[in-house]
Amino acid sequence: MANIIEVQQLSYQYPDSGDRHALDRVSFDVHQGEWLAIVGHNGSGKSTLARAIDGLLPFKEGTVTVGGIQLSPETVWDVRAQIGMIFQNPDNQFVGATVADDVAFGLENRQVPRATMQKRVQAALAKVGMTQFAHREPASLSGGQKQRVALAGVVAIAPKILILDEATSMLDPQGRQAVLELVRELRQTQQLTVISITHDIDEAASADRILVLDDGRLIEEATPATIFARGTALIQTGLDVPFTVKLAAELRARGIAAPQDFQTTEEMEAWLCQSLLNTSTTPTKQGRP
Amino acid sequence: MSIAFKHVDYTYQAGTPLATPALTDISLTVPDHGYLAIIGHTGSGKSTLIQQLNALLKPTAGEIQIDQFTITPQTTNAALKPLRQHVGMVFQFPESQLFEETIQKDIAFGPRNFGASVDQANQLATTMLDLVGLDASYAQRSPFDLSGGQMRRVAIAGVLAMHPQILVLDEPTAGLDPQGRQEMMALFDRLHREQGLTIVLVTHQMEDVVAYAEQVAVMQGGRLVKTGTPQEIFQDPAWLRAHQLDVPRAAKFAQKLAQRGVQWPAGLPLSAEALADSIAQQWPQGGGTHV
Amino acid sequence: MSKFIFGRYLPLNSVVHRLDPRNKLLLSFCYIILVFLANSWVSYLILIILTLGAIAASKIKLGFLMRGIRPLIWLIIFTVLLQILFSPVGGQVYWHWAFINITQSGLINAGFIFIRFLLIIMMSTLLTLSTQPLDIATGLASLMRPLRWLHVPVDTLAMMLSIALRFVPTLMDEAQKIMNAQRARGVDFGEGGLVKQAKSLIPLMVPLFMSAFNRAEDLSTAMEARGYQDSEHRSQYRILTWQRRDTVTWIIFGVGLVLILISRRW
Repeated sequence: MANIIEVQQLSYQYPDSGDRHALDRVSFDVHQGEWLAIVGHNGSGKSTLARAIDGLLPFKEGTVTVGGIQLSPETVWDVRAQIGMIFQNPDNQFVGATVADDVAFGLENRQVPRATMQKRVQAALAKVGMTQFAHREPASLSGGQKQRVALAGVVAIAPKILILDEATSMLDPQGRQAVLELVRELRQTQQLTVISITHDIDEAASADRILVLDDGRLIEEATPATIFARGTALIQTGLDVPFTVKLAAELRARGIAAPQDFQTTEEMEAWLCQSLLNTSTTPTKQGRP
Repeated sequence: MSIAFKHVDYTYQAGTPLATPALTDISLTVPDHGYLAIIGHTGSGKSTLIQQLNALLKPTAGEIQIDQFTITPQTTNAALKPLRQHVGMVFQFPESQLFEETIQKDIAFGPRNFGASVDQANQLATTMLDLVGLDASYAQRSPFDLSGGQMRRVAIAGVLAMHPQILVLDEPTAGLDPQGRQEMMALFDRLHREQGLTIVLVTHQMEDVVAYAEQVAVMQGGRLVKTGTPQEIFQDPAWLRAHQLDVPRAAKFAQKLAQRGVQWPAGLPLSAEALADSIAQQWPQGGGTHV
Repeated sequence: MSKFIFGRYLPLNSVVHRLDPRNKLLLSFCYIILVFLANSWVSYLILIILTLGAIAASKIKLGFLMRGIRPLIWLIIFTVLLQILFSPVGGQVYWHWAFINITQSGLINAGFIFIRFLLIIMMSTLLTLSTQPLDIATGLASLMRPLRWLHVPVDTLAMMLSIALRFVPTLMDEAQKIMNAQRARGVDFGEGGLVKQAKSLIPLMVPLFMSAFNRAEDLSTAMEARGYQDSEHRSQYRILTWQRRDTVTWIIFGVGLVLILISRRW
């Protein structure tokens, strides 16, 4: 798989932060079409990293290459053209006076002709299911709806990469689920590479790969299953503990051991059903699938 | 009885053409030292309801009894000030209420407004800072230099410094990372158990409701549609979903197992602990690998 | 707050609402000229008919609109009184004391001024009630476009105005939340003497400014991430289109103008 983003030895220090590095020699690649989650506790440098990739921070050490273009003051707009970004606070990224105006904002910046713009705004709103809200003002929308509008803004400019910077953390459970489902769907239909910075276990579980940041350093890079297998220690990485891990720990405390380190909900369900209902097949299979 | 609502109605902009009813016929009681969780879809009236608790909004009909205070539509503002001290409010994203130059001054602000001397208030600030897990070195720092999570602790310390008997929490863990969430909920639980604070919690986190609340009130469209213990409320996942409410993970999981034939004689387990207990009881001898 | 109607928008579906905001701004401006051209009872009658016609076409209830004028009534009464009491001597003198004269011409002038005030306030209230703030901003920016040649950053100003309007409800909401939080901490807003009241604003203003700055920072980051470089090199999604109904309004206006010119005292 080709790399769509390559980050090498990236370091960054906020002004007036003393010796503390917000990012400390971070290197990693993002493959074309993958979903990469970046996790870490608050203040670990996750958001700084996302901003650096989009050229929103003037870092001095290291390189960032997006779609073959190395990020520099001269190329920053070419890099940004390939990336759509959704931020944490739904209110503070809503620029337009109405939903349609906001979706059009990115297109206006790219000087797209008006006729094309109208078509793309309409198509984008339809894609996120917000067509009937086109003329509404942001004040009358819920947080989840505002984030869907933000996603429509991304769909309209059709970038290759979508970065979610804790985009679901301020939403209620329904809003969070709706936005996540939409991202999963858009990723398929728009062939997006997704980078999501998150504390949300469902969001992290959707990823192909997880990077763990701690104090600006990249300390781990693995699949969700490997990361989740760490059990209850997960909370130190800024993630919640998946339910199956919690349940496995509780069962172990009662003398019942799960057949493998990490099970998905479905795997655990199957295992427990088999064991509890004494179905005819062999009770547990050992090792990883 | 700590809190008693009697047929409370509330209408925004009552008596104007823009009048919108927000609460209808709410009757509800919370015992002394109780822990009530209010759940409901966004816009169901939860925030309006809790603003009645310290009379930021006064009922347009009905009566509210909060310990020795009685609030009716006729109650004057002057009579309410002691109530504001009695009921501490932690609003959503409370860090946005910080404004003083130092953390100490900000925490002392509430007590000062209710007549504490500077020394008393500063003393309280030191105690509260410790209570929320920040050491004394923070006292003279600016609240605006802190991280979001720390700012929230300072804001909560500022509410606790007024020594409220009832603590109202509006989604106190929103936007925190999981570890911060856990620590925050543990703090409130400690206040509840050790200092006997009555707690009213508005939340979307059903796991927290199961873990901490003694009583649950479900709001919808400005009405109270169900009250009961967590055990009673969460027994019916289909009903919860119909009211656009989340079901605790454990209950969801247990329900799936139930669909495949597993029995839960004591009712649907609501937490990983309860689920593990039920499973262990039914576990076939020698079926699992014992460790 | 909620009683103050002037400057608010009332979403209805009417011809007046659908008019091009540029047209509405120009019409309102020319209407004021018309008001000052009128100087006879007949010409005022024509103006009143025109105004009531416009209000009827907007589907806004006259009573609702008049309520918007109520807060300004003292200003009107004050001006009218000044006119009655201190107008130069002319016509029959009804009452005289020291330098105060109540005369026939004074009373007539006061009546005209009262009508002028009322008409102008009614028409501008109609403008804001029937036009979204954003459309007024867009219309103004579009009308100011020629100023570009004088190097006035018209597009940037329009963008600033539009963002400011967009954030008004957000910040109002925020102010309400902060006020609630501080009231819960024992602050009494709007009580006590002037000094105490001013002091009680600090716990509101500081957090409100902090929040506004944070929002501004977030917003500028988000705008940059969405490809915003400057306001000059952008295409426009929201454009205003001059339609037949806009032309029709000028025909009506023309008729009104002619009638007033004829009926006015020269």
